[in-house]
Amino acid sequence: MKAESRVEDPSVGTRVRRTIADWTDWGIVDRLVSRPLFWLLPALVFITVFQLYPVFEVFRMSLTDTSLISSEESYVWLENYRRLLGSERFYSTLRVTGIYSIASVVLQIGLGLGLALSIDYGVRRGLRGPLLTRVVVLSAWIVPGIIIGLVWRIMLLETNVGVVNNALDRLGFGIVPFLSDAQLALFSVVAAGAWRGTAFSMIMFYAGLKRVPDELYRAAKVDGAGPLARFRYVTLPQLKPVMFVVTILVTIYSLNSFDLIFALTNGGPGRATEVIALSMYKTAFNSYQMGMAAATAVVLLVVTLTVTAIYFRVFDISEEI
Amino acid sequence: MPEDISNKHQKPTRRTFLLATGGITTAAIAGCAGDEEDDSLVTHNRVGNGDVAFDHWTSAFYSPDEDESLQPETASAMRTRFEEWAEENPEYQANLVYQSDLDQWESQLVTRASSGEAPPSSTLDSVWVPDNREYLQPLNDYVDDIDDFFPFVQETAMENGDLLAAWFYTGLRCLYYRVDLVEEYGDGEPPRTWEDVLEVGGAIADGEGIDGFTLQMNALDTLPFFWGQGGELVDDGTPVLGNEDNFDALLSTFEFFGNLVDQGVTPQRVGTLDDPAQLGEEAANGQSAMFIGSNSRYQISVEPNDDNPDRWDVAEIPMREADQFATGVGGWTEAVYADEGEVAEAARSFAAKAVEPETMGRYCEAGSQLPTRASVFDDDNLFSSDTFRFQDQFRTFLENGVARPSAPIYSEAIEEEWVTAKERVFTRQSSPEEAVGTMLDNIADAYDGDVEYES
Repeated sequence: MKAESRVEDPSVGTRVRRTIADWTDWGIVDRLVSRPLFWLLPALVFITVFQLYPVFEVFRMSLTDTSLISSEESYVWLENYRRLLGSERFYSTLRVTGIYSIASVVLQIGLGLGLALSIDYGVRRGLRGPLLTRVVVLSAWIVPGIIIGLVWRIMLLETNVGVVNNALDRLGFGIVPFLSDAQLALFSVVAAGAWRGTAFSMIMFYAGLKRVPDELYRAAKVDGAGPLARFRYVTLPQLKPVMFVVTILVTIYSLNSFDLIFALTNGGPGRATEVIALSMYKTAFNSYQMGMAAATAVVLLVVTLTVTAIYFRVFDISEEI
Repeated sequence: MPEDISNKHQKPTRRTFLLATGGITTAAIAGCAGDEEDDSLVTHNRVGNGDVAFDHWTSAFYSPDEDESLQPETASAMRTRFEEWAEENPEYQANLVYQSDLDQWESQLVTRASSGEAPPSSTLDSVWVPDNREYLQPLNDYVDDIDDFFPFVQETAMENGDLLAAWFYTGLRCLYYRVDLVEEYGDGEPPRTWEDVLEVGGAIADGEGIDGFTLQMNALDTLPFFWGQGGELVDDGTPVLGNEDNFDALLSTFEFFGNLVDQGVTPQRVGTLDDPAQLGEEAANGQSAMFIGSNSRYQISVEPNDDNPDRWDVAEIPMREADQFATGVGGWTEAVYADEGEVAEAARSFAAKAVEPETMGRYCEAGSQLPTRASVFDDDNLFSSDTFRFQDQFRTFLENGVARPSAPIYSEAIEEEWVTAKERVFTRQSSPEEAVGTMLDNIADAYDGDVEYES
């Protein structure tokens, strides 16, 4: 019987498996490799070691008074959460994070979709330059956030040395306090973030647009649909899964934004642009309060998961998934 | 953030450190083999060639190699110090491990120290000493005449009679002012009080269309306004800046900040200004008439950028009342984490060498810095009185030097809250009362214990 099987199924995997099974007589390996768990195990180990354990450790640390400047540690249980939720600073950073995230999602999706539609329009009509445009836009996404923050900071300097203010001054608008006015500083941070993140949205939407069959547009045209109607009833429904993914990812990126803001304003002036992630960093590495920083991280995780859950419900893309 | 590492040459901003260390690392990798083969007593990466070797974390500002140093004018003094130590201790070898980012260096030290993995020794900003206090080893047996150090050293770097850090130079803050403009718009005397600043600064701003008075968003540059009134931040480890006597000094300081902006003497944009070099260069380029800067700011930013640097002079920081004086002092130290064995002995002797009077005087002369030992200051052979401009005035100013408090709550909360409150007032987000109130609440929240501000 075994000999017949070997002849019927000569694949290398099968032969190796059966050879091992022959060696063990009991066929343990054979039974093991035929179970899904065996193949999932590497991924589970990786996720456990590099994701679940750190999350668990952060949660555990959030219940302690761990400090970088003390070797002693004791459990304070929910004290860090009580202090965090009772502090004015937390609600200030939560508000800034909310404004930054909402503005980022709206701007990055709006601008990304607009750019993708423009490029797609050009490609469908054989115009020159879409590839160059994609590369130029994408370069903004490739550059590290720290560099972008520094570049924007130099551009927005509030003297004639700043590129933007120099131009505005020459046009007669005077020096605009882009970084020293609380509202304008937040606007500057949002603009810099959108400038960087739009490239990602554009690429995703463009990929989605390439998947929309031309037949659908032609059929819509035959039915008398104009450009807006085609966008409303063909493009948008076809982009729904991409829209969902982009919205989720942009939201998560925005909620966790740190590097760009760190370089551009460092959360100032007076914490006017301090987001939760930056506050967490300062708590950990300026104030050395690791327990409190861990509690902030847990709250940020909860906020992110909650927003993601809301998206799942709002978008209702269970069929696509 | 540490302020005084540079002094003569350049403020070591994070970017400076990254760029410099990137270059140095590349050069070090390229010349690694060559350095190993170099049997000189002192190289960029090594001091001595004995059998007992230890790592010493430091900055490229303190390299003995002129080509590699971020402060080339002090390289010779550092080389002499290292050569003397190596000759006196032929059995030891210090491997210099250069650090790039200041914040990361500071965090790495406390993190490693708390887990028992600190380097045997390191150069430390004086403001880092309190956070590392628990792990630093006494240097008493290696440093002579500890009482010779100025009081601010004894308050910050000593605990229960133990000298925990060898503070090898200091710097201070002062008022730089344009003599020509102060003569034209004032009585020729530098402003001594806040009222003087508002008066002459406002007149200059109106008359010349430049900034009358500027300062950066650094705690050490503005804390003297508070200290000069007798204000105290911490008492026995507890924040007391909200107590009755201190509160008045605190509020009046922030009201002064508000008046500076409201009266157009200081521009709102200083609320985001954290680069002292920018402040000095703007002044040198004629954009401001007065500013608060470190003792080395003249050599670093003003003299090289101003066609007529002689028009600048220095004065003590203006205060609420004319008979009040204070200045903030900083500087860098050498400290030891290794607690026993030959490495500990080697590291302690290495640190102690930095504060020997001759070594200290030589370094301070080379780097236009100020000594931390009275005997060095008083001995013209050790520290010549004509080394750099304003030296005599700085000597006087240092008598009113106040160091940042030697308590963890300062670095954990007070410094950041002070800067934040100041930014909020300068950028008109809060009134002085609101900013001070929020600052006190946040400091009380951060303190691991009860804070009851006396009212």
